[in-house]
Amino acid sequence: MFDFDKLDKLIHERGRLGIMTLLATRASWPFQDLKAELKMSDGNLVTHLRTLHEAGHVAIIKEVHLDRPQTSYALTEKGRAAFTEYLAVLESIVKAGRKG
Amino acid sequence: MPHKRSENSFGTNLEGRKAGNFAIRILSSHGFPALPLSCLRAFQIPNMNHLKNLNFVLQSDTLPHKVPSAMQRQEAEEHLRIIRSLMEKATIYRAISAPTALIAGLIATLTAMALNFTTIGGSNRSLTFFGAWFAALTLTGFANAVFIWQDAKRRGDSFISPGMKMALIALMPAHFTAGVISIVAVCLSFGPFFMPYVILPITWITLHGVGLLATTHFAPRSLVYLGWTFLLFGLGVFANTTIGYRIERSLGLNEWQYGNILMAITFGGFHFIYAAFTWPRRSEKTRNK
Repeated sequence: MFDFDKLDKLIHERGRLGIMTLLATRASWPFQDLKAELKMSDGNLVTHLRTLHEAGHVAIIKEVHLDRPQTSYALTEKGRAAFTEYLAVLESIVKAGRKG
Repeated sequence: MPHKRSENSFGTNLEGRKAGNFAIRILSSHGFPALPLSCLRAFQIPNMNHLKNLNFVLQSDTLPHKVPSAMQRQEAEEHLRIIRSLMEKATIYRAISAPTALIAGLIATLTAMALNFTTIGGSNRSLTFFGAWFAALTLTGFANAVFIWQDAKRRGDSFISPGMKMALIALMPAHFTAGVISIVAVCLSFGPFFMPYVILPITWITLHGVGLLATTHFAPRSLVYLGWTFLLFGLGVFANTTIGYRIERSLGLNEWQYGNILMAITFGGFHFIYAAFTWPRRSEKTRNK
C-alpha cells in the first residue's frame, strides 16, 4: 500500500526542490550562486529559503569574504534526512507506477 | 491527491453506489480498507447485482491506496529529472577556468616568442625546447591551482574536491604519456630521422586534446570543444608531416621556429579563444554578486 502523505510537501514545491537539490551537492552555497544557478528573483529565493530555514531544513551562514558580507546556505542534518527521504518516496512512486 | 474514479455503467448505478457507500462506511469504521466480494456476503445485501457493483465501487475507491495514478508517477518522474539535471549542473567540473586559459595563452605566447630569439646550438637545443615548455606548463599549472583554490575557498569546499580528483584521474593518462614520450624523445634527439621541434609539439597538442576529451562526462561543453580542437589540429599537423609536405619550408621557417609557432597557435591562441568564449558568463555571474 502507498502512502502519499509521506511526500514532504515543503520540498515538493519546484523552487524549494531546486534549492534543496543544489544545497545537497556542496557544503554550502552563497546566495548569489544559488540565484544564478536557479535563475530566481531575489524576493522569490529569499522567501523559499526562509520557509526552508523555518522548517529547520536549511542553515544560514553569515561571513565576511574579501571585506564584504556574504550569506551562504547549507543543508542541516534534518534537511539532508528530509531530502533523502523525499527522494526515496519519489522513487517508490515511480516504481509502484511502473508495476501498476 | 484525489483519485478520479473511472466512469462506466457501474459508476452510474445509484443502487450499487448506495450499497457501496454503506459498506465502505462500515468497513472504514472498522479500519478495513477493502475486502473481497465473498466476505461482503456477511453484510446480507440481498441483490447479487448490488454485490457486483459494490465490489467495483470498493475496488475503485481503494485503488489510489494501492497504485499511484499516472499523473502522480509523471510528476514524480518530472521532479526526479529536475533533481538529476540540477545535480549534474552543480557537479560539472571545469578543469581549466577562463582566467587559467588566459594565463596559459599568455605564457605560451611569451615562451614561443622568447624561444624564437634563443640562439642555442647543438644537442642543448632539444633540452632548451623541452625545458622551456615544461617551465611554461609548470607555471600554468600553478596558476590553475591558485584559481581552483580560491574558487574552492569561496564555495567553502576543500581544495582537493571530488571534482578535482575526477579531473586529475581523467587528465593523467594522456599527459603522463606525453611526458614519457617527451623525455624519451629528448634523450634520443640525436637520431638521424628525428625532428624534435615538430614531433614534440604534435605529441603535446594531440595528447592534451585527448586528455581534455577524457573529462567529457563531467566537463562543460566548451572544454570538450577545446579538446577536439587540440586533437584535430594535432592530427592535422601530424598528417601534414607524415605525407612529406614541409609546410614550414614553404613559409620560410626552420623546424625550431615552426615548432614554436605551432605551440603559440595552440597553447597560446586556442586558450585565448577559450578564455574569450567562457569569460562573459563569469563576468555576468560576478556582476550579479
